[in-house]
Amino acid sequence: MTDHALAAVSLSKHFGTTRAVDEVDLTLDAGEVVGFLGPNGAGKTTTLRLLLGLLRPTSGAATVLGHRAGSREARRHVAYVPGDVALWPQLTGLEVITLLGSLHGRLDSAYRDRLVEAFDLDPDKRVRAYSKGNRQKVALISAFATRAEVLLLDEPTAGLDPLMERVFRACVVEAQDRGQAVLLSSHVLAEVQHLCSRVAMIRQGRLVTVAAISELRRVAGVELDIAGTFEDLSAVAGVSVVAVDSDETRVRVNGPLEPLLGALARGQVTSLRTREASLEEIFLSFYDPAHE
Amino acid sequence: MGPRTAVGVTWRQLRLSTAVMTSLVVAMVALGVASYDLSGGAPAMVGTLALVRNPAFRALYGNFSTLDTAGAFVLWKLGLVVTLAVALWGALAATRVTRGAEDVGTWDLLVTGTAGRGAIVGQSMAVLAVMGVAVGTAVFATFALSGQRLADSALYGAGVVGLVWCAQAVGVAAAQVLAPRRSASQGALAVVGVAYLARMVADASTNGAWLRDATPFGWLENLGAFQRAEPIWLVALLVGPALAVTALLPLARRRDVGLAQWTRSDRAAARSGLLRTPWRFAWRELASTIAVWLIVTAVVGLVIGYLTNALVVFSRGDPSLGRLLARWHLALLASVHGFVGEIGATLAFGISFFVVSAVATVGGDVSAGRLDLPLGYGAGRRSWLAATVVATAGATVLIALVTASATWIGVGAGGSSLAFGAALGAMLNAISIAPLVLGATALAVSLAPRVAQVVLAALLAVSYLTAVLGPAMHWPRLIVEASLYHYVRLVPAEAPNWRATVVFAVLGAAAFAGGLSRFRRADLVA
Repeated sequence: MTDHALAAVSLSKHFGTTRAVDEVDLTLDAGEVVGFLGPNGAGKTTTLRLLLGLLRPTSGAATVLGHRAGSREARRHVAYVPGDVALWPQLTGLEVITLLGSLHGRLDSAYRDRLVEAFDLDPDKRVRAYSKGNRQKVALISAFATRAEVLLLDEPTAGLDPLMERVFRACVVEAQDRGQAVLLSSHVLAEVQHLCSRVAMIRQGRLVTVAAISELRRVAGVELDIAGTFEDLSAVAGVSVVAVDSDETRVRVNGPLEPLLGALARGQVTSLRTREASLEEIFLSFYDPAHE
Repeated sequence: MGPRTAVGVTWRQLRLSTAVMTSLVVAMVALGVASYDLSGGAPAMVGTLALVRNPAFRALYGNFSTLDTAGAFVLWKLGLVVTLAVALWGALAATRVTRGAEDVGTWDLLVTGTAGRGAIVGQSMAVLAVMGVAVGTAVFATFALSGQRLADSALYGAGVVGLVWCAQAVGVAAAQVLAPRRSASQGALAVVGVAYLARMVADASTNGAWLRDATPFGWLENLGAFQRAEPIWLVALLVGPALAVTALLPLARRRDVGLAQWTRSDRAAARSGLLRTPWRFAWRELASTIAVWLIVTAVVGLVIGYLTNALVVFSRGDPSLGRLLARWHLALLASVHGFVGEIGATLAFGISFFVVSAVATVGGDVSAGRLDLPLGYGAGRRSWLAATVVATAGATVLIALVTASATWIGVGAGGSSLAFGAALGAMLNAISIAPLVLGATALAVSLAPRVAQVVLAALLAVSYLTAVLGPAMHWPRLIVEASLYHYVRLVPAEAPNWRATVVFAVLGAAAFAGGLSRFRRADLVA
């Protein structure tokens, strides 16, 4: 059996009575980009720190290419971008990249130079003179330039401008094409929707779902704006009416469309538009009790 | 931001160190007074004048004419430690709340509030000033409560306030002209160090009074508390720093927040030689700290080495001084080897603080989250901690070598002869305690990275006071023998304490192994 690029099995971390991460099961395979979503304090960063070996699990286990997370073998295959990048203020950007590349053991110098140019970083500046966005760039360049098999990215675009976000997305796509696995924790849902094939959602330390975005959309249902004359649709199986105005009725369908289509066939429909739920709507449906 | 926000922020930053410093000073003064009484009081001090007026002793302990009160005795015996400690603390506290706060962006939030920059600076200065008053008041109260003359107690207490204010003014000035905080702190410490050296030179020479009048340490001495009071010097001590800070305020208001007059260039060519492994990077991270220690110990070794001849020649020519030293169990000081051994014993105290501050950088890096990236990129935790410990150990040997060389040169220049091997032996003996301090700090960092430095520094200070005052105060043997410094012999006048050296090495190795094991398993939380 081939080892997963990254695997967490019943991974738990408790701080006293607080269950920061609770029985998390998650796998990533080579070439896969998985979004890691959840509200603030849900346990995303704690999970990533467990996968890096910076925190020791209370129970369960995590592996990188079959090696225990945090072990010498596992560390060789991982690169990390924290959400809050803390560096030595007296070092220059290039020195930080060199240090991290040397510690990792692999640094693609040509790719590093390309990344420095693409991210428009002045590498000879000392870290203390960098803005938050530039410190983030240093961490991103370091991570991508190692060509590590597994990239753990914790809100990596916080502080980047839209142009740089675009560069970041291109880097992730290139990493995926090279067969690198990426776990991307982010609050930028458009970014996750654009880059990830699957998403894992965590709430109060527990994974509430791990699924392909298409599957989540299916579960979240489809919305239809319908104009015309037809019977009361709220009585149709699997259909809930979201809004009604003088021209149109908006309904959401969870499950098969046949009952709705049957009801509409008995009336007279003048227009009909369908719309899939965005990742933001799916996210809100998971976390915001007020969201319909 | 509310109008008194800076007061709260500054107070929170300084309250712990103020409490520690106040407690330390109170303990030293109280113990000093008690040790005077236990030593026999004024009658026992008869005949001490020869020693007190010896140029070498004047350089070390200050310019005193009599020790006929406990107050004078405390100032003579402990004035060096008390004044240096409060001055260094004052300077560092000032750079911390001014330059440090600007470095981390706290002032960005404050100056954009309703109070305005001038008010923020003023409030920070006010809190610093109150901290100085707190320490000075504690000194006054301790002297007064132990039965010393109220007027002299108040005079010295006010003098301590002034000394702290002067040091704080130096820190504030350094923060205006230097950035980042590390540079500002080093600049302020250098000024305080030079001022202290000027006082030493002034007291050791016959025509150096003008130099004494030029430094706050000299002003404090000129106050003459418990001697021949000259309160006029309070004007210099109290008004001087107030004028200096007032003059600095426009400078603070005019410049950009976060920048200084002479900020080190923010650009530099990459130097990758010490970035390849944790073992090399440890040297890179400690380089500036090591450089400062090398300079300080070299200067101190040169100056005190130079003074050795004055003491030795003087004591040889005055049999009563020899007898006095013998009565105080200080007979060895009357020889070059004994005095050099004393320099070594003092270095042992300094070197242990160096070790704690250097190894505790790992704790600082953990707390700041700086280890997340290197450890996430493959660096091993044990390697990281071990690399810092090994680099620190190497640095202690370097410092011993440089101090030995400087002392040897100083002694030679002063007119005495000393074999280089003897000087080297004294300084290598000084670092015999380093293995235990290294191991203990590594263990403390692995257990409590945030507070390791403060806790160990406090323990070392208590240990030093125990070794210095314990025997004179007839403390129980068990307590005195618990002090690390009790085991440091005056090499080369005495034979090295090999047994203690081996025990320190074994205990240090065990603590180091425990620290590595614990650090490997610990949760690293920024």
